[in-house]
Amino acid sequence: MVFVLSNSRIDIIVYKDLHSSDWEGVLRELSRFLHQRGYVKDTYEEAIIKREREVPTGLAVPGRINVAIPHADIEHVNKEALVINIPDKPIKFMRMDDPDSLIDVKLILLLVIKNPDGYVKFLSKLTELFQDDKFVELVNKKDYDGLVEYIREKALVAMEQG
Amino acid sequence: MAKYLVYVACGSAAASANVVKGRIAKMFRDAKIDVDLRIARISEIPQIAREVKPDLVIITTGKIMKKGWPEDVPVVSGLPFMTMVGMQKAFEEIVNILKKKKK
Repeated sequence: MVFVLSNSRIDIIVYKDLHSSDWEGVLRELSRFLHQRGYVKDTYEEAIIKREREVPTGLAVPGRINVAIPHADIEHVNKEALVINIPDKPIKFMRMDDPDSLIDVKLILLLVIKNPDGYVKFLSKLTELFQDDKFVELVNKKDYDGLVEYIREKALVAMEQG
Repeated sequence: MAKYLVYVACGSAAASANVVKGRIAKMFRDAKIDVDLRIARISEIPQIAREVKPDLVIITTGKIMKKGWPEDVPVVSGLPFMTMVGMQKAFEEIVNILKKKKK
């Protein structure tokens, strides 16, 4: 099931039912979906896989939940979005600071961004949430509605207000 | 006293490195330490280490490959500034490394 919230500059896409269970499959599945919907160019799928291999995005957050924030370079993007998935079973991603080790990721936030300035602000606000107890609780409860609203409030609105 | 020169590097010199740079810049300001913070792609870092010889390199991603680097260019992980876990401790380590450098 897919749900798109598009009342701000960045669409929030809830992509609930992943068919894939490994990071590469997940990124390919989401890339194809994004391409079908016109969010990204046809170069996006290979670009994001290559980037994840070279500079992985699995974030080990001690004491909280591990998050992956895959993204490709901005030139492959048409329209900005944040794709959210809470996998049924954690998916192994390579660790950002140690690509040889794998971590169990409980939240995937695929960043589809083309404006570099907004990118920094958005990612900054988003990573602040990784320390937020309510955010972690919403992920653990798989409360997509609550999570979307919380991300919108804490990251998107904050970003748009500068 | 010359400024310290510090590079922050991530995959594309777009997102993560700028997030880390913003957080570290604020901590340096608060600590009243004068630092020239610059952004680079991780792939550019070995060359920068050899040619520009920064006082410190902070990387947010990837393994640190120090082969062919000058001995006196230290490198630390910027990950605590992404996850905001252990950020103060990581900052103190950075300050200690810089303080050992004579300026």
